[in-house]
Amino acid sequence: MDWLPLYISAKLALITTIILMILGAPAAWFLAFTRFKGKLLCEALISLPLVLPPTVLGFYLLTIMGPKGFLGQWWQWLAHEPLVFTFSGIVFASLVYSLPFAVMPMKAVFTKIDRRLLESAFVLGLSRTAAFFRVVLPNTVGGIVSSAILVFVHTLGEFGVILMVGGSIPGQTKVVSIAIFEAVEALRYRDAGLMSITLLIICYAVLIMVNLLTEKKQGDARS
Amino acid sequence: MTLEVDIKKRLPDFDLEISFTCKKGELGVFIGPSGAGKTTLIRIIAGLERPDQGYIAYDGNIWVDTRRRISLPPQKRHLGYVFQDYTLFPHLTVYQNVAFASMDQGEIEALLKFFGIWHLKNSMPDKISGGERQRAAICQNLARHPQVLLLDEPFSALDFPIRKRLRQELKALKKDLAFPVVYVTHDLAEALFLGDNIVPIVSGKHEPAWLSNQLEDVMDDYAWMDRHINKIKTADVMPA
Repeated sequence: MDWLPLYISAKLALITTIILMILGAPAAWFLAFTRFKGKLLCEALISLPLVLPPTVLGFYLLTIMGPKGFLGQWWQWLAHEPLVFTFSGIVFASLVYSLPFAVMPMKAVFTKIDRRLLESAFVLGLSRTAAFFRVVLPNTVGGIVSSAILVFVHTLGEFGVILMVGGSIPGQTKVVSIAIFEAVEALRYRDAGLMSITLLIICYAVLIMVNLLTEKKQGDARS
Repeated sequence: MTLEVDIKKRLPDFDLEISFTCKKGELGVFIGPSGAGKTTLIRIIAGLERPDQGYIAYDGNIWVDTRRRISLPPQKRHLGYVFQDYTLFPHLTVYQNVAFASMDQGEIEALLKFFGIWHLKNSMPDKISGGERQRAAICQNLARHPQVLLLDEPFSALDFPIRKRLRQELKALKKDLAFPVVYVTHDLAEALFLGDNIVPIVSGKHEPAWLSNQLEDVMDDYAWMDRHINKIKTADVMPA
């Protein structure tokens, strides 16, 4: 059996998770603590991939990432390669697709933090950035890890958006869910079953980890 | 070295309009009923809220001047602020909380020993009592060597015996402080015991008559207790 699609999926999920944690944390922080005009619209836009059919999202991504799309042209200028049907392209698509799974849970965690802790940090001389790293992060690490795990699992199981933007190029864009689909189409049920059970075990184990983290967090809060 | 405050701020139910000064080594008390604007005032001094008009200066340095559009952030005012309820950082031990404001190990040790909580240095804030947490919060803010120390009803959530003891500790400490202390309370006994300069505030305004009315009420209570002192001491139930 070909394990390469599983490796591509894991690589994609890991890169997406790392990038989304770095970009998502400041965005969530900003949404949690800043009021501005159009905040509702901005939040709805971030959450859109949650409700949009993956094919619709994939279609629009394909349009802007294609050779005539502004993102595709910018990437061509920057990296001298096209964005669609490449690994970089599916990373970009995954970032958009999993964005709400990173930003919204982290925003919820940041909103719950006692504002007086922040005010206390400011009075004690800490800048906003220092307060984020020295006060907010240590007190929200459980929530941040939970959202990272959710992003990872969500990306691991991506199908529609990847198929639209990346196709199925072995070693490049052929992720495990596409490989399972193709195996079933070719009546290779044993391969499909093996890949499916692997994915199922990983997802189940990860969800148990999230639940354990949540329970630990609630236990800490109660004590 | 004097803290000068003269500010106005529109609040939902009234206008906060206060002018006062507090000198180095002095303890100024804002006293008044709940919702009088005391905490808003202390938050404005700390830089956590902005006044609509006015100025705040310390030792000639302008912290706020609305006409010149100056408003220093809390980080640049270099002050200490002990909140009404405990705001120690929950992920740090008592020692680390104090070390948050100062890296001088000798000084941290001296402060924790002065307040009798040295033995709790490795304890987490949720494992110690309310009185110990407030002591640690005061240590944390003193370790910062503040220009002004703000205390917002720091002992109000504590039981009376601990409150009384902490009050005495603060009074003992006050003699050595080389900066103004601003104290917010609604407890008259606390204000009279600690304050060098008492500013009664009602609905955002300086209201000297409130203090004399409160004193009369307290005197009436004491007179009642004095009349019934023997009954109170011997009876299981309070006299009618």
